[in-house]
Amino acid sequence: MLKKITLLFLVVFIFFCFCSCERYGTEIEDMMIIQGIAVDREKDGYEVTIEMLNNKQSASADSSNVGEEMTLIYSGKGETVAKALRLIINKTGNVPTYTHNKVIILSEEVAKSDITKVLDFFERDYTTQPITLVCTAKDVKAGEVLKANIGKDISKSEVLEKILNQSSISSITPETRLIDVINTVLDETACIALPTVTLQENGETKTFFVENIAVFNYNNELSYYLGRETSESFVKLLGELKNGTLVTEDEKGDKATFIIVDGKTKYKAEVINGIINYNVKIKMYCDLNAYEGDNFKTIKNETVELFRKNIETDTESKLRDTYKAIKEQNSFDILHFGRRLLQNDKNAYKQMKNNWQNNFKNSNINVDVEVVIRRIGEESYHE
Amino acid sequence: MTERKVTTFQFYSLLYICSVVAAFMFVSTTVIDLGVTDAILFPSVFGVLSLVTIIPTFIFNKKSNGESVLTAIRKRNKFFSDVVAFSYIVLVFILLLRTLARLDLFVSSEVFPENTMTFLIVSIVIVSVFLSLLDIGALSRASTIFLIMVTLSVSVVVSSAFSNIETVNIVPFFMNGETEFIKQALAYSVFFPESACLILFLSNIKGNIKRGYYLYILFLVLSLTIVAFTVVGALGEFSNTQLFPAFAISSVGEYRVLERFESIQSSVWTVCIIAKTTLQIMIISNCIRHLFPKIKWWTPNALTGIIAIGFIIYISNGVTRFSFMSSQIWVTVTYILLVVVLPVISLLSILKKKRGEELA
Amino acid sequence: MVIFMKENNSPFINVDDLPKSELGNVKFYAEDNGKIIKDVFLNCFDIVVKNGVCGDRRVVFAKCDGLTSSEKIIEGITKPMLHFSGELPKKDVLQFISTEIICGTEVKTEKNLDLAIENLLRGCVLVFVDGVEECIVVGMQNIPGRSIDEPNYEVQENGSREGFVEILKTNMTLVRKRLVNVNFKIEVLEVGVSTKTKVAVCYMNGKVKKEVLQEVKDRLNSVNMDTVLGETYLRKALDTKRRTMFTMVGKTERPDTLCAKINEGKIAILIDGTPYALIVPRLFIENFQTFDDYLNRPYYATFMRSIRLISFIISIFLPGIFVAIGLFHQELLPEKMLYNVVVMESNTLFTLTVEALIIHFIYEIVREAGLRVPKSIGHAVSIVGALVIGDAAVTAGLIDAPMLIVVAMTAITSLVETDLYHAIAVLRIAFIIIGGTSGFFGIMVGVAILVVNLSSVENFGVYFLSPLAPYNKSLFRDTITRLSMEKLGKNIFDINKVGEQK
Repeated sequence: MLKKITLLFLVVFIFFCFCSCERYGTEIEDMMIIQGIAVDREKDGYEVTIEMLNNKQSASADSSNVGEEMTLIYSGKGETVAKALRLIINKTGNVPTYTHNKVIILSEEVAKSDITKVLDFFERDYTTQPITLVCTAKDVKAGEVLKANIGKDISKSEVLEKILNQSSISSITPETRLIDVINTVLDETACIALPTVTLQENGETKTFFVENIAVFNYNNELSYYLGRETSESFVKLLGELKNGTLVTEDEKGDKATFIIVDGKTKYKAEVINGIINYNVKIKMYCDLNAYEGDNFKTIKNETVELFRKNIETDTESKLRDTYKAIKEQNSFDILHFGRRLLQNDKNAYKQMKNNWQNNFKNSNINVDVEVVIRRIGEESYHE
Repeated sequence: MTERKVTTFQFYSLLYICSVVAAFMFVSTTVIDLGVTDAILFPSVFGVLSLVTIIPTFIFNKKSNGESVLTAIRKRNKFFSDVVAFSYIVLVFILLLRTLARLDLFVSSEVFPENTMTFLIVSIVIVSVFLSLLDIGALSRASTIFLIMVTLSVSVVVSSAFSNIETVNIVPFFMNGETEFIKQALAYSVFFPESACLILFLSNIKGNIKRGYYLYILFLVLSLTIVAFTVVGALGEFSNTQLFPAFAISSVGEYRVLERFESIQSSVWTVCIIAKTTLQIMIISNCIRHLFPKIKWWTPNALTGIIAIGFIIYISNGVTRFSFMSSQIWVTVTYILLVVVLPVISLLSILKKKRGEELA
Repeated sequence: MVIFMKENNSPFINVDDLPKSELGNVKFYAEDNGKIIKDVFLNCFDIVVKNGVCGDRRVVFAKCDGLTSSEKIIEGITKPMLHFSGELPKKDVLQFISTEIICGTEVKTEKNLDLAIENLLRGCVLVFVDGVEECIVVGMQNIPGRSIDEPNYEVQENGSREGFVEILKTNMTLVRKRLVNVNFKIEVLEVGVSTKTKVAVCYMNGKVKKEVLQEVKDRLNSVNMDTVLGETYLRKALDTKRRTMFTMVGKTERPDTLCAKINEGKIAILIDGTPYALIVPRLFIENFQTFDDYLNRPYYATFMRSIRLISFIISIFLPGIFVAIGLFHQELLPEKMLYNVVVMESNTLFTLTVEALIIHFIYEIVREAGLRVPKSIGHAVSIVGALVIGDAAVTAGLIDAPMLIVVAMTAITSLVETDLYHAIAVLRIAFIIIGGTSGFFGIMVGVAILVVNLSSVENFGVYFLSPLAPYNKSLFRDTITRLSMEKLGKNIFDINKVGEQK
């Protein structure tokens, strides 16, 4: 009897295995391996442009393929993002997979309405990685970014991903993964800040350029852009200082360039008489990269000291200005200062969070930058 | 020739993987908020609770001289032992269904959402039935190997996600007050009723049961805390938007060679699930055998499997049935009955009888 | 006593006509005995019966030509006996002949004619003497066989170059000369109704458990087979009773390996007629150990053992995992690799699963052909195999290059574990099917079954997966890792401790 039952189970199992083989799993060449997604606003709905790997490329084992693009661009229109993406299947015939999606580009128009409506699809879809990068496009349609001719046989999304990653490593723009955006939206006091990509002409081809930061309001709608200088200081204030360059001058006006090797940011928030005071301590480790003034001779001790002080005061004033600019222009808390207050004083936070915009506007900051110059390219100071 | 006993290490590694997989498949519910920093402390509360609730089992072990609960009670009161066996059948069956329903939810929402994967669940039940026909020793020995696999996969995932931990996500403890914390922590703890299995297998274990249990709880609490810390630190409030937060951390981390770990992690959990369902089917069929000693040796296992398959096919066709299976009240009631009530009344029954014997 | 013979003119003997034994005791007259033997071996040209006179009595010699050394017989038996001119004593004639006349080391007397004939067939010389209902059995074997040679399948870098041969006695000698120890015992049993194969059970007294030894003997005695022509015939009796793909009976053709195993408390079984010895019980981990490990430096031995274990895992799971990734878990592949795989895969004819199955079947066929063909045309097989699998299949679009790499990798890794090849070949195909239908999910279900099955396997009180599960710390030192000889010397691997659970 047991043998019979075993046999029965086996038969059923094998039946399942072989008869429904087609239903389970997708052949790898039938997949639409999406590299990047750009979302544009249409009259009543969205136009979604995707970049996918070119599956049907005719390649032999040695893959000596000339003349065919590595990726293909498709676009589709629909009432919602999900619907538009689904409609692309009708053009490619392949099953979409978002696992290798690197970047989501939102056009200015999309960003000006609530972006959570667009991003919800990616949050809910199980294959999208939460570490997919999100950015906005400025002065150009988002679809154009993916369609831009930046050279042959190049995946645009891959290039864009590298640019965004690199600029967040060199502390020009903040790191904005999907998970960060969602966490910011869920945080009542914080606002989203996304890096903005623009297209620049470069002869016949075009290049991507990322330097501005798009600031969103509390309804997650695009409000204004931060300029380049402000962006850099903003990242330093945000506590994501990893890398970067600094330029300063000596007494003769000769310029010296320092690279930031490492940085640490500490926050302390306290509430005095209903006003929040932030103490931000930034410690930067810098190496001297280039100096115009020494005629290849050994650099003097005093000069290095001067540089150090210059950088400290410079950075402090820049940070203060940036903070002021951010808090006075609509006071959207893109710095996550609400969360910093919570970490220091949860009771004060509970009282203040309901009227956060106002409280943030009234807050004060005290920036203290400490610079440690580690290497100057020489063994010792010239005495 | 061989002693059909398992060592404490083997048995507790089986319990460990059963419990740890429950933690991984944990779902954010309306009662429990896993994204807040408090979640890091939940496992500790669970640890303390488990140390308290195990006391009756330890006393029982001492008084019954290492006999399992059913045989010990049967010697004294046959009817009562049947009642206890029946309650175990019902309660463990509910646990079995919950495990399977959770697996179904997991598979259908994270692993293969495009297909109905009922057939996979069915095949897992069939496999478990066959494995449960072997003795507890084989399963326990195998689980020491599963333990290595689980530890490896979890440490890879956690270490890859560790670099993504952000200070912004960590907030002070007890944001919503201490009572709320205790409430949530208790609600969290009742999802781990595995320690109730101990009293059923007392006669099969050799070695220091108490020391093994303390180590088991220690390691379980440690690993749960690490996982909770990673979830809170790397995901923050994002974890509340995810169905399986512990699963989502595997999608945040990244190594050069492998882009994502989800599939690896989910498949390793499958192994744990099989061990867990096998253990549960084993318990149920042992109890059935206790009720009907003349039954054929494989019938209870097959019967349990068939009934479980029927239920799971019913459950997998509706989202409300899923949520019913893991509704807080149900889970709490099963936990209290399994972990507190049954051991205590078993203990009382043999104590009472002993006193009676002394008087006589 | 009637001889069970019929008149038969055919030069061939009808098997049914052969006497079914029970010839009784040795007859009083030597010539009667000679006649009986002639009749029993009618038409058998290799049985030689010769009459003669020793002293005052008639004697009959019988030998099996080919199994005995004629020169030795002439020098040791016939010459002294026929030239004996003295008077034989009335009493204890055989005693007198065997001690005073015959020059031989193995001399005994036998009353039963059946047993005497059995000895004849084993290469002894029978001497029948008139007036005595007994015969002298003189061992003068010169059984033809291979000379001691280097083992063919267990090739090693270092260590002895001797391998077992087909003659039991030689094999016993090879072991005995390495284990000069009073505790080393060899017990000889007979199995097989027709073949009466001699089987030697070798063990180290004091290191082996008595119950285990008894069980081994019982199981060997209970073998109820007509013929035992190879070690595999006995394997079934000695193996575990659980259903599993793996065996708990080890096999070796190296005397040094065998001695090492005997010294660990295991029991070796030498079988007449095969150059392989069986060892019980065998642990899973022993598949990854070679004798070379103990001759190399410890760190290298440890490295090689882990390489072997990894090869085993790769050879079973790699194709299945590849198929599962290709069909279900594309997200695991890094960008560039995915791109290459996609491009190549789009040019092939079949789905991944079918591709993997086809190429594995082709591989197995080529392997089997290469194994069975005469050596002279073996090259042709390998060339065709290389062409078919390697180049033509890719160009024809039957399979793609990544799959080819996977198969090549699997094929090579599976050759590392020759002992486990049978299990590997079947499991691999199974995992391809499972991986192709349900991805990693299914593969892990398969792994669960495999691991639980492995950990349930038990033989002679020892678990197959020990000392890993059940874990034994002191024994675990010589499993994947190998400590230095000084450390191992104190704590030699003892199979009896494996059963003890800590």
